[in-house]
Amino acid sequence: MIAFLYRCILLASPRDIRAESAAEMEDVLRHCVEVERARRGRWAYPVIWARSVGDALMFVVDARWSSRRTDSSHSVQGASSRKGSFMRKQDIKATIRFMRRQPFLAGIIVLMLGLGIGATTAIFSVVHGVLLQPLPFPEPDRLVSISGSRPDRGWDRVSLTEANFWDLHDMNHTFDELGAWHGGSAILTDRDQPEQVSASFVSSGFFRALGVRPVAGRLFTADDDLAGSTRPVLLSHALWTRRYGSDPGIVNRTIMFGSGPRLVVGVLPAGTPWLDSADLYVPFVRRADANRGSFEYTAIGRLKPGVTTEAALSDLSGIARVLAERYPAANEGLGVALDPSRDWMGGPELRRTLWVLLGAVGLLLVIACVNVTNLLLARASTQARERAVRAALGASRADLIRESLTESLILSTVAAVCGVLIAYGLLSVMQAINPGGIPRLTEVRINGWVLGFASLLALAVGVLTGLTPALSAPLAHIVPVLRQGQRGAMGDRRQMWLRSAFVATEVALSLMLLVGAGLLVRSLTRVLSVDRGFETENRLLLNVSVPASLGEARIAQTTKDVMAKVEALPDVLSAAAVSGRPLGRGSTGLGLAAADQPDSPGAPVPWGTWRIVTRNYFKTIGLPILAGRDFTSEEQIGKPWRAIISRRVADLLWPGQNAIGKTIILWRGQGDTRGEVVGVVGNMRERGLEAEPTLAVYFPPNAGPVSSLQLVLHTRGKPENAVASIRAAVASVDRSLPVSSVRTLEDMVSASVAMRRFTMLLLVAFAAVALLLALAGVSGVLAYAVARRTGEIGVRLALGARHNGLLRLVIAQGMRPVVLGLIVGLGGAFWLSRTMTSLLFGILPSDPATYTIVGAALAVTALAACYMPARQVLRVDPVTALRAE
Amino acid sequence: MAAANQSAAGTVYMGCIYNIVYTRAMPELPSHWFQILLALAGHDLHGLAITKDVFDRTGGRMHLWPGKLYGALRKMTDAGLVVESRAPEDFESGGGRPRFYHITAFGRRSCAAEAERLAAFVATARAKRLLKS
Repeated sequence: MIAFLYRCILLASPRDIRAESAAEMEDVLRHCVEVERARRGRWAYPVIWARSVGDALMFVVDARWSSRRTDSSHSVQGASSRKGSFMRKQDIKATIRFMRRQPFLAGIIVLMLGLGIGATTAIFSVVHGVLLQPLPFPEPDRLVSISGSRPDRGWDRVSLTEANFWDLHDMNHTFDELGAWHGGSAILTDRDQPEQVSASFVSSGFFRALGVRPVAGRLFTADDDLAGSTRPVLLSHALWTRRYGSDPGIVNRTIMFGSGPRLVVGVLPAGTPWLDSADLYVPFVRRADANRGSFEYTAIGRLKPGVTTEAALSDLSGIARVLAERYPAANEGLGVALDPSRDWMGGPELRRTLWVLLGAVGLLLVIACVNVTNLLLARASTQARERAVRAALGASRADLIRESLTESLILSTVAAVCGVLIAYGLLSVMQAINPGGIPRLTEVRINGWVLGFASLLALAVGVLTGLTPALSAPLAHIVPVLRQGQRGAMGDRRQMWLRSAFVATEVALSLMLLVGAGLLVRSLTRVLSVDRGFETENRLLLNVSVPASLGEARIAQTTKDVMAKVEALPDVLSAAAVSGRPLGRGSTGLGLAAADQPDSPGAPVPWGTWRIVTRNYFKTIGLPILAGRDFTSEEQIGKPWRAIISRRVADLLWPGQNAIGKTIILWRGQGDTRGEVVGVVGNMRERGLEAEPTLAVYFPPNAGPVSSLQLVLHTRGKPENAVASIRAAVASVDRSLPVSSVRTLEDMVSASVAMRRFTMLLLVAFAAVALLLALAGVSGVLAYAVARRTGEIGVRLALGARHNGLLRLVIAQGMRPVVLGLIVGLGGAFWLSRTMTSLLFGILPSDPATYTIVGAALAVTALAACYMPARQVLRVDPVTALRAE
Repeated sequence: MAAANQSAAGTVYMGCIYNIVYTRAMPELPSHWFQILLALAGHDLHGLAITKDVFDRTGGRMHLWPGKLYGALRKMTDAGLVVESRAPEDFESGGGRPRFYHITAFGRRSCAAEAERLAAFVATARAKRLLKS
């Protein structure tokens, strides 16, 4: 392929120079490609492509320059040679003439190529900006994230505990810096209206490990890890701009929080990841009695120069083994996992999604190219006589090829310009829709790389679409073409065969795209129709933050008052509080066991999630109580330990038995607390619609203060209408309480599938365009064939053939390549769809229903596309047709 | 003829050739020309062998792709630094008959002058104790 492209570019060099060295140059090229492949591995191909294209272009320019010099020196003798010049003025003029005379055809060609190039460029810009663009940190190769792992429970990534982080921090030998991060929130009270913002706890090494420089002020120092009197805070760039108008004077000023004053020590630069992930950062203070049981921390580290990830992993794994011996209760079975920073931008699923989309637009571009090639072929065959005359007068094949390439390159360049505009539009649409699952999407730009990619595409498209018509010109048969006139050339069987093959290719490729889109559509409907366990209709969630500065007694009273006021509203049917929202990220976990069953040593402990809920939570969110009872308003967590469990837990621990009244062991292996089961509720997909329902355990609330109240409300009418009265009710308790994160459950469900919907919409749009292009191809080729056979049809009619029979004949001719394309396309789709397995939900990549529906739909639309040109047969008048003969 | 050459003097290469041919001064050679001449100083070689020789001798730092190599060879032939030669009797080709190149006496002198020029820099660097002697 590279050699082919190289050869095509060399065509533009003067013939004598080319003839001298072309074969030898290919040998050298082959050698160079092998050397690059051997020394660069996976990155070889972009380099090879760029270097070969650049090298060939340089050679051509150089050769042209020196041959022009020779020409001008020869012109003294009046013997000007124009042989071999590329993009001659008259070729360019001819192309412009064609565009003027046949603006519709030229417009269609530019539109088709522009759509293909535009869509491909837009998706490439996302892939480049999200996956390929280096992170905004120095030497990102040395950055890794560090997590724990529990191979015995089948978890390859878990968060770290506070104590484990400090142990790794102190005992490792392979990192220059290690930092930890833990999400949280804070209330800013330095203005009239209190505002809840996200505030992350970071150790001082965190930003040092990343290697960022503050925009103003300083970063945290090791002293900030110790509890001191300064209470420093770092502002994110976004908060600094939004709330403080980018005022550099904010540094060293004190701002008020619900929990007291803090000193602003610096402002961070903007950037993804980490730097924009919270509004502000406070130091996470090192404590002597750091927690060993709560897995909440994410750690990153900067490797020492020259240290490999493997070496660091074996270093940290050694520490994990030491810790397991030292603290068997907490650390038994706990391992370590490292992820290089290039994996920070989206997980494997996002990568897969983006590559699938890029593949899809690639197919779309190929379909557009095939279609345009077909159009240019048809045009070339109408010009066959003209070309034959020119060949007879001495034009060489190279002249005709050069002319055809000039035309296609100019068309593809215009298309690329349109394509870049389309890419701009598509990219801004994608950024406006932003489903939230694609990091750095807002930072994606059409930059030099993307424009370079578009230009390469235009060059490749121009060469590919121009060569076929040029090479298929029947130069070897000049005499028959001249003798028979235009129709003889049109009858060229080889060209007709080629065009049918192109139609089959288009149908096959668009079928693959349609199947991909169909599989995603079916997956989304499956996801949305899955039994989620809770109701979304008229359900509202919101967060009320209570400042810690109020003091314990007032906090407890305030939360009670807020609950009472909200519950009493006429718009609210029922209200409850929960410690963690459904479909939210992160969860609290615990090991479970039945007290009345013997321990089976070595067997994995079932791991569940726990949440604290107030009375009426199940009723409010629509989760049925299957057995037992709800909590009462007097019940408190741990006094005594009582729990409501989900049906999955009951079925797992006491299959076929009544779980009510049984004793359940909570936090198995981490304290073995015993509790009584008082109720069994339905299963709920708390971690998202695509995740299996969790093994859920619910506890009654704590009597102590809760600083953040997550309310779940069932409203009488539309939840949006109740928001104002709820805000007023909260304000009536205390005006300084911020109400935040107000969302309907419907919205949250919709947001949780936004990424899936987004991918599906894009793929459906691409498939629809591909289908249109393919149908245009089917219809166009048949229309051309009918026009070609008008005379023959006239003869048949004169001999007594019926119109209907002829119609069937013509349609059958049109459908032949379609059927072939369908068969090949089904095979191709079956093979390609396996790459999408991880994007599907509830169906197999070989889902027969999708294949049947898509195949049938394509066949029917193709039949309709064939019928339109075939109708021309009905209008053929034998007399006129024969006279034209 | 002189007019034609003057019009070509605008480009680096052509200016360089002009100097070589007409002033007989020994100007700087482009680094890849120098490496090609060095490769040819021992034996007559064909294009692929020149690329391999330069690649190995420079430890992979200079990799002559076909366009650059044959562009240079064409211009070096025009400048009289190299000439095409017959393939050696014992040469066994895998197919086709590649052209061999032979360094001319002028090519040899230019290459030596370039080497001396570079050696002078090395001597300066050594005098300034940038290199161990």
